[in-house]
Amino acid sequence: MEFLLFVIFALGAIIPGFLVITQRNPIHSAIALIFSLLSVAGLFALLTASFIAIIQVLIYAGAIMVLMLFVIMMLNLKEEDLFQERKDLIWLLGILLSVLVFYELVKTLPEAYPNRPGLVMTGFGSLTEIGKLLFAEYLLPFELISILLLIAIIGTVILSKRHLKPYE
Amino acid sequence: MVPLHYYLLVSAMLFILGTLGVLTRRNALVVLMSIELMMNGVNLSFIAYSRYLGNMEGHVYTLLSISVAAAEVAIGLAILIALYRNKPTINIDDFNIMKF
Amino acid sequence: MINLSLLTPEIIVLITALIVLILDLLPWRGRKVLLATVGVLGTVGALLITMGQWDLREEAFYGMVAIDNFSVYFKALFLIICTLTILLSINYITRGGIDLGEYYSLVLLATFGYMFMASGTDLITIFLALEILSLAVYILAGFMRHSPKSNESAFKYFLLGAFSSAFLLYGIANIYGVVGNTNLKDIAQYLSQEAALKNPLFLAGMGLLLVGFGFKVAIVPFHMWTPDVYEGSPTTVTAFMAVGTKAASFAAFLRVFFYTLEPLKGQWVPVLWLLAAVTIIFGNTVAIYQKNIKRMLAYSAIAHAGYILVAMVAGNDLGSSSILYYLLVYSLMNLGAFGVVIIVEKKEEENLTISDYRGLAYKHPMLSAAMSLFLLSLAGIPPTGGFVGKFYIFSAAVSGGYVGLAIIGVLGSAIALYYYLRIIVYMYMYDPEKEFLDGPVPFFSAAALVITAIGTILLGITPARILELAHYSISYLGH
Repeated sequence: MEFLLFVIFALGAIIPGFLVITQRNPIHSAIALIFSLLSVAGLFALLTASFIAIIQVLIYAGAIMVLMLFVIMMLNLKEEDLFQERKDLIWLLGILLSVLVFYELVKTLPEAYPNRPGLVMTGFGSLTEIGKLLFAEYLLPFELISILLLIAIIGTVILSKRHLKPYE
Repeated sequence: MVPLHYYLLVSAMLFILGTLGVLTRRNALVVLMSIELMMNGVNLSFIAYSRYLGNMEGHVYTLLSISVAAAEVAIGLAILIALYRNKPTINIDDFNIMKF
Repeated sequence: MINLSLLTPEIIVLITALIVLILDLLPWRGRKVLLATVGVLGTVGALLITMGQWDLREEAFYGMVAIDNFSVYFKALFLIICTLTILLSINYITRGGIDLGEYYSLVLLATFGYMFMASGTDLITIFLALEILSLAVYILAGFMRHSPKSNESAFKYFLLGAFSSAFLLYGIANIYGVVGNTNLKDIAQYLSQEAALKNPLFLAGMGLLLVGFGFKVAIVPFHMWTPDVYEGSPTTVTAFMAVGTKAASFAAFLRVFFYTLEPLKGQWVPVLWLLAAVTIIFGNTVAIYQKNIKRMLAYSAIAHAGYILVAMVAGNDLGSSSILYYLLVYSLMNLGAFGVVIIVEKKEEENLTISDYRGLAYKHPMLSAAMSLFLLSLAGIPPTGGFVGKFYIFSAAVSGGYVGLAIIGVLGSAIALYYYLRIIVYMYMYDPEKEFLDGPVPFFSAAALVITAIGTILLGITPARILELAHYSISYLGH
């Protein structure tokens, strides 16, 4: 049963992922990406990461992708703006290389890691446990994130506000 | 239980797909989305390792990673908007004022 | 375990950034100089406190950050860079029409990020510091919103940076998966076991980290859009990122690879050897063909990163202390060279081609003299600091057994002589064709130039003290 769910979610992540990079219309790519993100949330749930799964849906699929769709809509691309991209040699090379890398991974990964899922405590993946870490050992990263978000806010205003008034 | 390396393979697949997208696509928006795909692959790795190691640190890293991705997307889109105002195209190949 | 007081310098920089942001709201005319003054006061204050932290060996925030001589040295360097950048920016951003308070704020916040890059002892701290500084610099690169070149450079820089951050993060994930933690101490402990050295997941993680760092310090083949970014950004931002981002990235690179991943030396040293050689040759060769002076300096910066890699390959104590020394000299001479470019540059990006420098010596002798000093230092001619820096690096390489690499370095420097001297020739051997500046040299920029010039010469004449300082900074790091 669990394996079936894994396969469903894994395919749900990979196939839309493939669609993201091959669709001509960015809206189609965005929708495909949303599907991929939701499937990854499903994988998180399978891995007992309940809080992160919810955050993935809320923030990633819910906020970030909505922002992207807003901007895509705002740019108001017409049909003629969507250009035909060169179906180049580069694609072929890229696919070849990726298949090679992937094959190597499939060969080496199974032995690379001791295959025992750790026995996890009750409450693994819950908000309480994350909170315990986030406000103790990982307090500094938490504060740094707040600075990062401040910079992002300053940047978005500076770069996209329509009329900026410098000093008179 | 599903073995760890299955998850790692899915994660690697997402990462590779994202990389391919960044390197081959010429539409700036799709490149941005490919980068998000890469980050998702990494997050999956973090959570999978976290489960198999039995410690919660991976979840914290994932949370931080999602926040960073959010900030990055915001800035990336802002830059794109500023770019688009001056020159209404999103084709990366058109951005070649500076050559060689 | 938190030890917040140890982070006072960073906190001062942060608060200064916030104060600048708030003071910007005042409707007072003279506020642009006020903001710059506040900024400089903040950085100088932080610098004084940083220097007072010498000889501590403390950790803060549960092992996320370390306050040791290594971080003190670098933090002092970053604060000096920040101060000089602010000084150079005061007139430039008015000319360019971008004098917003947020500019200074972002420079200060980027410096905040730099400081954590140098003192971070956990991969996640380093990653977040990297993101902080990167985001701030992306915004700064695109600050001239009306200029398509600036927009383009911000966008290219952003794509490159976000792409490389993903690689870095994937490397961190794999290392976490193997070690259980991202703390550098725990990683070092893990590596002391014999079996650890062959773990393919760890090696993959390390490789990805290398790619991530490679993008940030802009070595070949990760240098892809760097010249475009340098050319398109506002020149003060170019100077800031050429110097600060590189130094900060090297600080973290050093801490992670040189010290923590040292047992795996056999794996990454050959790779770095190759990268160093390619970078030096490529950077210097392509620089010859550049007409735009910012692009030329960009390729020169790429080549200099190659020299620093040589010292990393060398692997001995002289190697790492020479990196610290070189980064100081490199910062000063590059800030100086860019400073002159900033002063000479006119509105709408005129005066940026090398041939525009014709006859500068006849109209502005002091400016040309300063520029010549910086160019000679970049080329590595005695008795400048640049010469001493290269000398130390190549000596370290030779004493580490990497004579071939040292020869490549010297060859590269010889090639570089051509494009550095070319500018000097233009300045002195041709007649001036036009007016360069719209008035006298601005005061603050001149002050910055004086500081960098004095630094460059001093480091060339009496380098021993600073080298000792650098050596002492890294002395106990290799635990």
